Amino acid sequence: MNASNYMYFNRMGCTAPEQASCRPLGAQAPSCCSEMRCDMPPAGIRPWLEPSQVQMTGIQPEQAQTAKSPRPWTAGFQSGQVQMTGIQPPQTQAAEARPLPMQPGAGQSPQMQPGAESLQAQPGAAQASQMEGMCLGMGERMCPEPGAMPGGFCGEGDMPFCGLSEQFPVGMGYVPMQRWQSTYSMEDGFRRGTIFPELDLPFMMGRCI
Amino acid sequence: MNERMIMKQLNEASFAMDDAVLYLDTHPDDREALSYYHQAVAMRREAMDAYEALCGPLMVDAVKSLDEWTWLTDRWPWEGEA
Repeated sequence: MNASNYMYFNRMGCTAPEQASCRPLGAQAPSCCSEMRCDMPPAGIRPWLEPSQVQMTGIQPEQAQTAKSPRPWTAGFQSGQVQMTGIQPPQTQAAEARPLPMQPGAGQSPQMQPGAESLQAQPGAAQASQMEGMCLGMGERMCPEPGAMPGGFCGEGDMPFCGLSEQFPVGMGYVPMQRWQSTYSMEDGFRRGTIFPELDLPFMMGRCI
Repeated sequence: MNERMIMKQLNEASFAMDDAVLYLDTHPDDREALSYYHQAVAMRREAMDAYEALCGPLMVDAVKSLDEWTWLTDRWPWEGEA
């Protein structure tokens, strides 16, 4: 969390996260106050790693394998191939470790057929599947295909981004607001480089694991 | 407790205080964080007092002697333990 994030909430007229309500700054209510809490990300976005998974147990081998191997439930929807009930991740815990829905591969596969718009009928489940793949391996794309989002509009292949640009201005970086939780002991905090377990993430050069 | 252990505690408390400061910069109304900050400050102060009692002034404004400029005459950290 940094000062710019805090300033963003203030600039948008939002209250501090602890208060969990919005106050308009000007005559017109800020966009973030219309449909969501100011301190919360858009629906479907959640931290991709829980502190307990990071510090206490680490990523389980099967999870690591899941993160590195192709994910059949996101690797390209075919019309009629994937049912809404059939795109659940193999493990609930793996779903909790799911990354943010910025990776475009989940819903904009060239093979995506018009029949797949049934996913939009159940946005919650669709977002869960679209959060797959944020934690990319080296060489994988983190950006949408050129021309996939012409003019900022959502096309059939841009489902992971639909709605985000309406809630947040494009071209800005957003960081979820940190909340005070349990801390490491001072000895562990000094050794880990942070007193906050939720910030003690397994960053590696060039990618996350 | 020797000089090394005191310095270790001082570094840990100082780091915890700085991390709490970063958090408080963006969460000025968080009372839990403020309580943690005061706790870290107290531990840091305690470690500093212990270090200075054993090794002399840790910072230049901690020189208390009225007879000698101990900032120069005390051992420096890179000179090893006594």
